[in-house]
Amino acid sequence: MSVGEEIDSLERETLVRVPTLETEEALERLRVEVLGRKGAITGILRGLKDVAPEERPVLGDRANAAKRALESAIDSALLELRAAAESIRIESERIDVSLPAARWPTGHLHPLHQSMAEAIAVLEGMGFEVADGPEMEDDEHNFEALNFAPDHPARDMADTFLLEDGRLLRTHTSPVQVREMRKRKPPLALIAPGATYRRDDDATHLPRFHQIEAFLVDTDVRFSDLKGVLEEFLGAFFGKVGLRFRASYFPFVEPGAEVDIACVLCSGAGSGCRVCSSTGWLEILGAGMIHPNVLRAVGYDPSALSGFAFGVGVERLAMLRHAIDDMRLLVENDLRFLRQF
Amino acid sequence: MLLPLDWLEERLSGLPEADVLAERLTLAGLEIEEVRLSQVPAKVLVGLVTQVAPHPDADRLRVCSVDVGGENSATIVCGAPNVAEGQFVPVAMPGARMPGGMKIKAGKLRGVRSEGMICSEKELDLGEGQDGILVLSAADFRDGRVLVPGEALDARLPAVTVLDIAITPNRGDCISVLGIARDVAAIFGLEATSPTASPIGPSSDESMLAVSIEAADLCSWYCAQPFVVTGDTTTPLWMRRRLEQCGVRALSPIVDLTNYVMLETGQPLHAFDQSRLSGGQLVVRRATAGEKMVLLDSKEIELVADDLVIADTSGPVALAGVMGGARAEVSASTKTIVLESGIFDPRTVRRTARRVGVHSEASFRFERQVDGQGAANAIGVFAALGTDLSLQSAGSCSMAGQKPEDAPVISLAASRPGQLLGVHVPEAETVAALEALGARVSSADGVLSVTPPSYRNDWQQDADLVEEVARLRGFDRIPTTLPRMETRARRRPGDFSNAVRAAFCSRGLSEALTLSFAEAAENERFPGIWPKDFGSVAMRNPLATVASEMRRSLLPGLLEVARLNRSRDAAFIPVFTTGRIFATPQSGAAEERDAVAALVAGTPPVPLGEPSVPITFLRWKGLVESALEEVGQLAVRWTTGSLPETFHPGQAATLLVGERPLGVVGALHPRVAGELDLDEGPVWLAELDLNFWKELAGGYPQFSPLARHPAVRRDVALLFSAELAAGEILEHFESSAEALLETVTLFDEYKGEGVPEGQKSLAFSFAFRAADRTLTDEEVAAAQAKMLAGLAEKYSFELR
Repeated sequence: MSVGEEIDSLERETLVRVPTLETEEALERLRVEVLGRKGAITGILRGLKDVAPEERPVLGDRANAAKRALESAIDSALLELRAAAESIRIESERIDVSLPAARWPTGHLHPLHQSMAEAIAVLEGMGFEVADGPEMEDDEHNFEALNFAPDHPARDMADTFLLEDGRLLRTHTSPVQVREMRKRKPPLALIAPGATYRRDDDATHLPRFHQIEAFLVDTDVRFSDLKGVLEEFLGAFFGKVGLRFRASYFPFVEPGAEVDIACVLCSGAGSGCRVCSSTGWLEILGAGMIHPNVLRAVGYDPSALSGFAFGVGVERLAMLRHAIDDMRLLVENDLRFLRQF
Repeated sequence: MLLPLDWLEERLSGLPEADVLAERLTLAGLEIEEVRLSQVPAKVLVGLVTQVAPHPDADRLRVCSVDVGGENSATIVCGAPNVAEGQFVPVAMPGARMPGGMKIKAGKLRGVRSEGMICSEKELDLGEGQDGILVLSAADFRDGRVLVPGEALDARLPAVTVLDIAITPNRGDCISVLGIARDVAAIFGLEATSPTASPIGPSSDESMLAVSIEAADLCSWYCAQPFVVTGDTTTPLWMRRRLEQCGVRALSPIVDLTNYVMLETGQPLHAFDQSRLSGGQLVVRRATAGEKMVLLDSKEIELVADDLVIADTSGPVALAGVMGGARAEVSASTKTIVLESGIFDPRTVRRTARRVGVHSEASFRFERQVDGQGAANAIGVFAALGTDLSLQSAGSCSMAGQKPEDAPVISLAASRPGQLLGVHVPEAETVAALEALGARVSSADGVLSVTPPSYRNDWQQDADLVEEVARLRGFDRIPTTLPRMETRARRRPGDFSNAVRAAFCSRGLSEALTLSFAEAAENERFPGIWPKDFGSVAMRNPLATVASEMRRSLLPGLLEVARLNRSRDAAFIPVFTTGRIFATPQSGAAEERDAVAALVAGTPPVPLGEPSVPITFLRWKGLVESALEEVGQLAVRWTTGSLPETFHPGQAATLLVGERPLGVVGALHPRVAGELDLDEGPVWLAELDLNFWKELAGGYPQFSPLARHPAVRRDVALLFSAELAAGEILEHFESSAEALLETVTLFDEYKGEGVPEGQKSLAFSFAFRAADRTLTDEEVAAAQAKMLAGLAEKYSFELR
């Protein structure tokens, strides 16, 4: 067999063997056997030194061509094998992606605290600073300094929990106003968020609820400033919304007002609306100019300083925002409720 | 307060439509809570009973012929015992719909045809009334016209709009028809007139009664006027109807008239039966402590020295401003009354009313202050109306004290309203507003001198007057401006608790909101993170619906959340809460702190077909530790000392930082879990002192250079006594002085085969590293040997 025939026959035989091999290892063994350093083709190329010099280039080309053809055949066989193995693997791993998942554990912040945090953020953005105070208060801070005279019927506005030690549970966060004003010097722009208590427990009252009280004291604070701040604050919280100020009475402000927003459900249309009981308005907070008696009680001069204060119920904010129709859900803590927010 | 508009119209004319009135009053501070219509049903006619015959088949029924204006009389079967010939009665004709919803139809009653119903007062919703049917007379109607059979009753008693007005505690002047009329007049620019009053006053006649005031600080003025009852009478229907519309029950002519005058003028009156007073004198005095009296409602009360009473020579006959006494109560046989009109101290009335638990129409008004100058006038109004009710004033009015002077002048800078409201308010507008409200105003040098009317006790200083200007002007006519605000950099105190809440939330726990109250038993069981000798904080006046103490711990609330959700079939309950907790030290005032608590019960959800992975102590500990690391990079010691009894003694730990406890973490004691019906698997609890955590968490993480040379790891298994806490050894290694030791990890705990009884094997992995070089085997071996030698100095162990 001439060298040329030898090459031809090697190529032919090898090409027949390639498709019969079923594993990558077998193909690699074949590659070594034929194309490796000690393989058949290498042997042939080495043997070229024994042929006539004029035949060498032709046979060399021939051997190299065979080498390339075999390499390519083995490579593509390998690729095919891998592709087949991969598709088997993928098929074996196929799952029904429509099956229900096990959710990664997700906690939910309470809707009340979400509304609280956002209201605080809005007010802080306007320049108010957060202040904190005790929930167990004394009569002086909760009532007297806020112009609730002893034995005055204004005290009926907040039925109060009394503690054994003679103190009480604060009925509003307004005592923080008194504490901060006594501690610091105007100008003061503060908010006091927190829990407050009243001896009421029915469908629309919780014995503990939350309030954010805001107040501003400076040399020339006017009722128009109160209106402006409330418009900004409620506008940021609820979106642009109509406001209505009604004269009202809170002992610690004068003039005092209750503030209504146009009903979030019927937009003020009223008739037949269950959220606003057909009035078109929702009572949202109490507000007013800080009473001169309060300023005096903290050692300020009412002829030199003025201020406004307002207090908003956070339960109300959260209920309106999320269309929660039963206040008791807020403290029942059914997970099906908590996980909605 | 309930206000029938036809009554208001008697005090002023030109009233706007009810909805306009309601809207403006609401904006001006008299909030209208409800507008209702009080009306008698249509198709109720005035009938004249012409004949009454027995029912052939029923002893209690009568068959009446009633002239209802048609050609033929109507035949009506009536069961009332008081029906009689010649009576004018209200007859509900077929088709009439009664207030209760019943529709009148003609039909047979025990075989006799009945063509309507003769009505009682109650059936027409006019009042409680007497037993039996309502018998009408011309005097029952304000116009006094004779009754005509067949006229519609609703033509004689027209429908009336009744406003329910919420009166704020500062507006004592508005708890009367007259008071509201004055405010309405000021708002709408109308004129309000006072009700007609007969002249009353001391005369030279010898008085039938001596009155005196011993407690002049509690009663400024006391008037007592005798009246004689001149005939047998009843309260006219129109008056009874008004009382009913105002929510006051009609009782007897004398009492009804005192109430009527009170509703109209705001001045409470009280009538004594003169024959039941002893000694011909009344004294307004403080009670003697321990003195007893029986009130009109038959309640016997014991008085204290702070109470103000009206007394005769035998003792108290009335609790001033609160309620009369039973001893001198008027009755049907009363022939002469003494009508009292006094001005009593609001605080005293309020204290007494609250103490004895009697809240009357009178005490409601006195607490909010009545018109100090109005006492005598109210008697005059009573006298003017009394003639129609056979009540004739007799002799002169006895008075003690005197009509008070006008209140002091309030100075109001004319510029003040504009300054405080933020809008220009012309002086003339301010003056006009205050004058419309009854003030006398004079102006000089830009300062207004304002004399408040006697009924505006709430006007004390200039701000009060500014409010009047603002509410009459309307708040909508004040512009909106933005105030000058200081720009200052601020720390946000809420950031810390928000970060803690976010840490638990991001670990899959949802936030619950639990109330701050706890039962005494709960507080005992869950003493919280307070020192052991702290007591609980109790309330003096707890609500029946909530627990009576302040919570010492957040855990009872969370356990309640777990119970609720378990009862609603929640399989996995991961919750946390933050809030205040309360306790009292041995001496000193009660304290409050912020805490965070977390609870997990049940098994976390796993994908279909995968095994469930229950929460174990170490997983729970890991959650808490990772939260502590996230907020403040806190390292704590887990110790088994001083665990509350409600925790599982073998699966709970007190967390210490230094020697101070930060909180408790672990499983609920199985016994307690059983008692709480939470025993399907462990309930994991954690409660941490948020104030302390915050103290510890200051500062920001400081960067450490990243190592460039490889670490060398060495594992070693050591045998210890089984009782020894692994954490103690770990802590010993972690605090080792060996400079090359980078980390030490406990990666196995083993007891059982191959380890002697009473011992355990702990496997540690040390990582040694130097910042400037790759360590040699010799260096590492030396470091490890040093560490084990150090351990041997404190603990006994064997290499495994």
